Amino acid sequence: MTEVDARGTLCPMPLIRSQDYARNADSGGEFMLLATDPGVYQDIPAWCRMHGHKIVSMEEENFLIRIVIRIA
Amino acid sequence: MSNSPSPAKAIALISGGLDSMLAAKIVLDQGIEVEGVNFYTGFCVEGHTHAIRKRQQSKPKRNNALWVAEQLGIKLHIVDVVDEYKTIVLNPKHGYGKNLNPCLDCKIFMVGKAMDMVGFHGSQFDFAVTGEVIGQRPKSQRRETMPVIARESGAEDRLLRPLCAKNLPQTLPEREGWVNRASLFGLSGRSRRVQMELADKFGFEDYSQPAGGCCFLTDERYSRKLQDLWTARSERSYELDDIVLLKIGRHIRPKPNYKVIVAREDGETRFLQGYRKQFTNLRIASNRGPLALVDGKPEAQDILTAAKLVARYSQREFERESIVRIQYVDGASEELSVIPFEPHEVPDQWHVGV
Repeated sequence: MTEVDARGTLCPMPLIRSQDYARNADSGGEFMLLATDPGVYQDIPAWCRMHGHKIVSMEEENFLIRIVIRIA
Repeated sequence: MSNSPSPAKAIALISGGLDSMLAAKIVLDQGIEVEGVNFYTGFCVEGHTHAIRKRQQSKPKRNNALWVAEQLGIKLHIVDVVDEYKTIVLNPKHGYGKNLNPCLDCKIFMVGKAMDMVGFHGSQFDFAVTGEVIGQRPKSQRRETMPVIARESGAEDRLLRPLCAKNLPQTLPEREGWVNRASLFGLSGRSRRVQMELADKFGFEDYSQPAGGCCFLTDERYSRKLQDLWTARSERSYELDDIVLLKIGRHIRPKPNYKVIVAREDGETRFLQGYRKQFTNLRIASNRGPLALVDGKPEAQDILTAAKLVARYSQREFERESIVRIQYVDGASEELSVIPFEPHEVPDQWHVGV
């Protein structure tokens, strides 16, 4: 699975990197966002609701947040 | 782009504040399909770290532009303009406002970028919408600057300002009948009364109204820190990391050749940890304390001063000395035993931006 690495960046950069990846990816495909800013807990679900993407999973370990997103 | 009265499409600049929210809503209510765009410059107040958000725990931790778009039921595109925006900050054609805010150039730039989105991602936009109000902002939102923005952005008469349209010449969307001019507004001045009434009418609650707008460059302290950075480096330039770090921690410059950035809370310490390989960094080894970065070219004696500063902001118990662990960029490390500075030993002028 493609990893979109936004570790060490602040929101909205994780969202921008997800958006830029999703724009050029196939519908139905999945990617994993790697982030460290907890702002993604609010921003990524809001962005997914808005554009019809689905959050498949979301987990955090040692301040590293992994979110798997299915592209609309 | 549409040649018929409908359906027309508009791209609305969404800052996350009330005015742009209302402007988009007014156009939406006329049956226009609207999408939003928000530009990330690196100076955006919306670009919060958890650390910064933690200081305002009573407020929702959210990106207000995203929140606004959700309330309106429109798509929002957030666009990274960090690199392009440097020209605006470093050489604003129309100059700065009260601080280092190039508001007029910024608005021209953003409207121009929105106009570039015609054809964006398969979409076709017929006109752009902003929440500008004549007289609302002293630098950019004045009667004489409105035509400047329309002209220099390239938008010309495809720029609709629904909140003050009746004070301005007709625009293309009005002439074409895409929007009804009678349903637009003629606001001017700094009063927020009508906007609040409109928010009530539309059922908007809990909207954001940042006092200084949505940009750190309008903040006096932040602008001083940016000017200090340019002075210390003897050149006007910056990278994204520079301007992000200016939002975080205490910035203390004992000498022109270096400054110390001391985290103020656990969240800031956690964020600054991401910079440990780029900067010499210091942390208390003997008790709890913040992480600090050293920016610049410190000499050996300066590291001792930095260590005393870090110890000054640590949670001191009864011991007089603190052990400070220093990690250098080249991978070397050492520990120094220091007597922390007392508050009166840190001159006010060391504090950058205060």
